[in-house]
Amino acid sequence: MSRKMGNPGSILLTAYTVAAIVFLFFPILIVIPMSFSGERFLGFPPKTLGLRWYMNYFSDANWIELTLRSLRVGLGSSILASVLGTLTALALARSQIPFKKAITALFAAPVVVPTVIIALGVFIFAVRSRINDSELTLIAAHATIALPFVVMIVGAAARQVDPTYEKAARVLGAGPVKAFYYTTFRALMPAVISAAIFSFFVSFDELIIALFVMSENHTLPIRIWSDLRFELDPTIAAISTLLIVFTTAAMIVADRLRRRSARKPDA
Amino acid sequence: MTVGGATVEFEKIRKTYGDFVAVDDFTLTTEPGEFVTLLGPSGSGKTTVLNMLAGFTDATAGDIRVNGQSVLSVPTEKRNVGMVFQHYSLFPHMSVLDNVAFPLRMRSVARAEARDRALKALAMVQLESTADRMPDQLSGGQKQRVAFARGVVFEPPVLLMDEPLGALDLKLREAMQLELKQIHKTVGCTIIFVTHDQSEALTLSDRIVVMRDGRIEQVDTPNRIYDRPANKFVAEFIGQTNFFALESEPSTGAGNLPELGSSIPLPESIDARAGGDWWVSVRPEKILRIAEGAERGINFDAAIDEALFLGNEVHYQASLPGGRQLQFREQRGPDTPLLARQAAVRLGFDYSDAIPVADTHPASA
Repeated sequence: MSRKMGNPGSILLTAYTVAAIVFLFFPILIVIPMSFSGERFLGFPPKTLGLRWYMNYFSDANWIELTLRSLRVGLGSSILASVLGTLTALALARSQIPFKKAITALFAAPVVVPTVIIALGVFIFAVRSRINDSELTLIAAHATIALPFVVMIVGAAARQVDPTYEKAARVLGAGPVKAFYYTTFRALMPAVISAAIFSFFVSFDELIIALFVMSENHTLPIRIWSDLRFELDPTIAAISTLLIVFTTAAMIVADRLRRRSARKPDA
Repeated sequence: MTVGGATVEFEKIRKTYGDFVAVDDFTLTTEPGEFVTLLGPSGSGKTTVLNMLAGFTDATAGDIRVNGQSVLSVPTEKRNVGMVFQHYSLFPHMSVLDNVAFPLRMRSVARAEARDRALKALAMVQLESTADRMPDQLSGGQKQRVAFARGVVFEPPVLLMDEPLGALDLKLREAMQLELKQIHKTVGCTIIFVTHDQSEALTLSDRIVVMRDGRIEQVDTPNRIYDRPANKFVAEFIGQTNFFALESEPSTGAGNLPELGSSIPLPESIDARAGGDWWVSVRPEKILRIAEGAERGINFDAAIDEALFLGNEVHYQASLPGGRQLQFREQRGPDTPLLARQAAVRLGFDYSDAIPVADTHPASA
């Protein structure tokens, strides 16, 4: 830090950075004190403190049911997207298939296409096939939008893994499956877990597709959204706080793993 | 750990990729325990031969046998050959010990025994103390020695080495060459070694296979390869040399060296008259400065262009009166004067140091 902090440019930059951070984090951070309110209605700052809204959440059977459903759907779509995405990433990184660039671009499509379009498509398909309002349908739909993230994260790691390791394992006595397991798979593991965590959250807080598909069996985001439309219940602040803690912890783990897998091994 | 080496036979091995012929008509039989080097420029097919023996690549035609048994239909992991790769390929998430024990574990050797044998292999390369480290905590030379240990720990009768010293710096490479010779003596397996470094090949090998464009140019001991190259390519690829155009005298059968204004007797086996592109190869250390009256077979005048002083030796570049350049070397003691630029010198070499070689082009497939 040899540059002096006094000049107007750097003061402006500092002010801008602080403003941007406040802008980004204020809505998140304001929720936390609100959740510990002892009051009847949502308000800031809370006049009295208490855990009543946390108790309210945990004692409400419907909140818990919806939370468990969202966890199930998140877990299911995460596993589905991770398995399919990892295989796709390996195929794209390793094989000499024609139109590789086009196929790679195709796998990024769900990120680019507006979610509402995907939701509409899934809705029409699900209604026609009479599989709407099913957790399995939502798992499949969420896996679709999570797939590009898996292909991207695992693909980046797969391109770093030197295929010679697998050859080395083979010639040293490992069959094809064992050779893959001990070399490429082990090297990709951090990336796969990281991608699985990202996929889980893609599904866990997804609202639009869930709204279209799940008319009766609501998910957690659906109830949060519909509750907020009619009443300002501090329970939502409590749930949000729990989600913030849960999400932050998981993202830190995922990011650590992603960095570890991006580091070039044995260079 | 001593194992008998295997006899490896390549019989008319051919490998094509579409129209491209990577290896053609490759026939070679190794002695058990022999150190054979495949030497050639990049793209000469040497690594392809190694990959076919390891089972990474299928041969298009021909057969490969180890101790008389064809291995072409045997999957890689069952071929029981060791291999050391250019970039070591130590598994980055396994400790040094686990890396070396890996081939044993894959052969269902019990954990304790695998550990003992891996430690013994590490002791052979003086790296027992690194057993618990991870590969990225080792230096390049250490990684390479661990890779050796891993390649021989399961006592394979054949060890393949693909440019294993290529990533090391010169000094380390020379130390590793010595160590490799020691290990080879201890283990006794047949080693097939691939390199493009001719000095490495000369140092290490019992026999050298010189390859070009997928074909064998010459198979011989290092000194025969150096002293009696089979053709111009081999003479040029191994060590340094001077080529002088060779034209035969139709009447006498003698060979004329027009650039030197002399002629040499040609052995009967060489028929430069039959056409083709003939040259004589004369190594720089065979060209000597000669005193008045001490003429050799071939004598000529030259002027010094450049001198490279190397301590015990001086490498000179000189020009013939016509302007054609040549290299020669001079061993020197403390009293040997250094020749200045433009100094006139009388040089000469013996008939026996002029090796006739043809510039053969590999038959196109």
